[in-house]
Amino acid sequence: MAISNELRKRLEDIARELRKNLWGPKGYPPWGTKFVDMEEKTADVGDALACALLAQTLQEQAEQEGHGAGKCGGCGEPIPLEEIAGRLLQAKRGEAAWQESYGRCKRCRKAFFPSLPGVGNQSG
Amino acid sequence: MGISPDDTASPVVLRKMVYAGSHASSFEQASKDLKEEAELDISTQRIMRATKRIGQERVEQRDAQMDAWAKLPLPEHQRSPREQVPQVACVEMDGGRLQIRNRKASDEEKQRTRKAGFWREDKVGCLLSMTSTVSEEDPCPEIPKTLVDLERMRKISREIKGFCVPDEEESPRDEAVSQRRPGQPEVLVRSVVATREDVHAFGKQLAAAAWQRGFAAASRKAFVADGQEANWTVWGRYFSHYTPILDFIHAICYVFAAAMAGRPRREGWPIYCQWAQWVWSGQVQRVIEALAVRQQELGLPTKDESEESPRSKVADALRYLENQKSRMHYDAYRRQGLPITSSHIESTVKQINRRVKGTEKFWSEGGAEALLQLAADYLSETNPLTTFWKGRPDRATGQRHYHGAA
Repeated sequence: MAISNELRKRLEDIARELRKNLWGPKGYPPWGTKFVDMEEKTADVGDALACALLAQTLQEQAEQEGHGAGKCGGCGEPIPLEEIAGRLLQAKRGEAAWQESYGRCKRCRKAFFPSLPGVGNQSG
Repeated sequence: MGISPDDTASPVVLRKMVYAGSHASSFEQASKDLKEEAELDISTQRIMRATKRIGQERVEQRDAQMDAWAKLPLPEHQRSPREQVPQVACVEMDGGRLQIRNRKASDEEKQRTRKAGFWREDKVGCLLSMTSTVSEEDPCPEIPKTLVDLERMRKISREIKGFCVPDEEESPRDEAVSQRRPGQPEVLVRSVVATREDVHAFGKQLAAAAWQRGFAAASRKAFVADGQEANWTVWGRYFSHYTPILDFIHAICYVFAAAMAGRPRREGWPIYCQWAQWVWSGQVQRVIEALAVRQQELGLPTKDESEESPRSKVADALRYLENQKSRMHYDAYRRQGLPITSSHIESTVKQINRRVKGTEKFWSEGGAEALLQLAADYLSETNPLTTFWKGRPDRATGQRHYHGAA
């Protein structure tokens, strides 16, 4: 995916800030630090950032859009999405955890998660 | 969102898990590969379950496509569903080996295992679109040197048919280098079908896959296989409008064993060269006649005679050539620009065996079928998995079945 220039600039600003968290006030490690150590640490930060971005996105989307009533894809009956389920997904850069609402159709004996085609938000 | 409620890995990670699970020598190795190469810490069991699940989804798709093909009216089977039709359509089939251990085996299965062990056969087919030219003259009338090279023939015979020809004297070795024979068709695209199902189900799968590739409308079509009866059952049932061709290499392995049987090398070798050239030229009847004379000289094998005796080897070759001679017009096949060996299916079986075959590897029926399907998919240059992964998010229904408390 192409990153816009604006977003790239913002990421560079965030990286500048993060360097201080990572290496101290100077923003760089002591002279002589091995490249491999720098690469490992910065990659870990990148992975953690990617996971946080993904988990926050999923959580926010579920909170804002995923609490309405759904419709059973099997029998078409409306289903109130009253229960909350924790989701944990192994993603490319680590684990993403979030919670989302779901409902049950007692007739079809199926559970429905709303942010999927056919129920609730269809843009996902 | 394109993920199922039961998914525990993102689509990107799932794809990597399935790739590793289908290619590594074991699921344990797949877990190590992912850790090292993709920095993903995923257990062996999870990779195994994911690979099986995705393989089963592909099996369901395959079966649905096969059923749709079977429901078409017969004239449709002779048409191509696509505009692009191959110049030469070639179907090759063979079998591989793998071990099946069913936890809930039936009595019949248990009895079979007691007798024959866990080894079972899988069926593999190759669909090859090819390009070649038709010529009035045989583009390669002389048998290639590589097939009249003693050391090479010894090796080929041992590998393919398990025939052993004793090496009682040092043989001067000509440099026989494998090279493309004139007029040999060129493969454009290969796709693969593999299953543990029986030969009839396999034939149907192969026929449906060939139809999808537009093979029915090709003007030149060939079905190449070794002499196993099951192969020609599939040909007769689903590919009878294809030119049936016996794999040339299998044929000359029998000829080689019979020519060398009971003769010293310096006597047997020139006879083999002559017979091989006859077979190459489509004059199999001359070899059959020569073998009949040789059988008379040696006598018929007795009931309990060893398979390794010269009489048995000559009798085997004679029977094989008599049964297969209608599929051995190699000169005509070359003029039509058709393939005459099943080398592509032989190498495909080897590639699949690398994943599924091993004395330490045991599969359940469901696991074997899923993995064979994935192995075939990854070997297919038509990239069926690209389409599968692209469409998978749309097939996620968001539904999870649950069971009420008792």
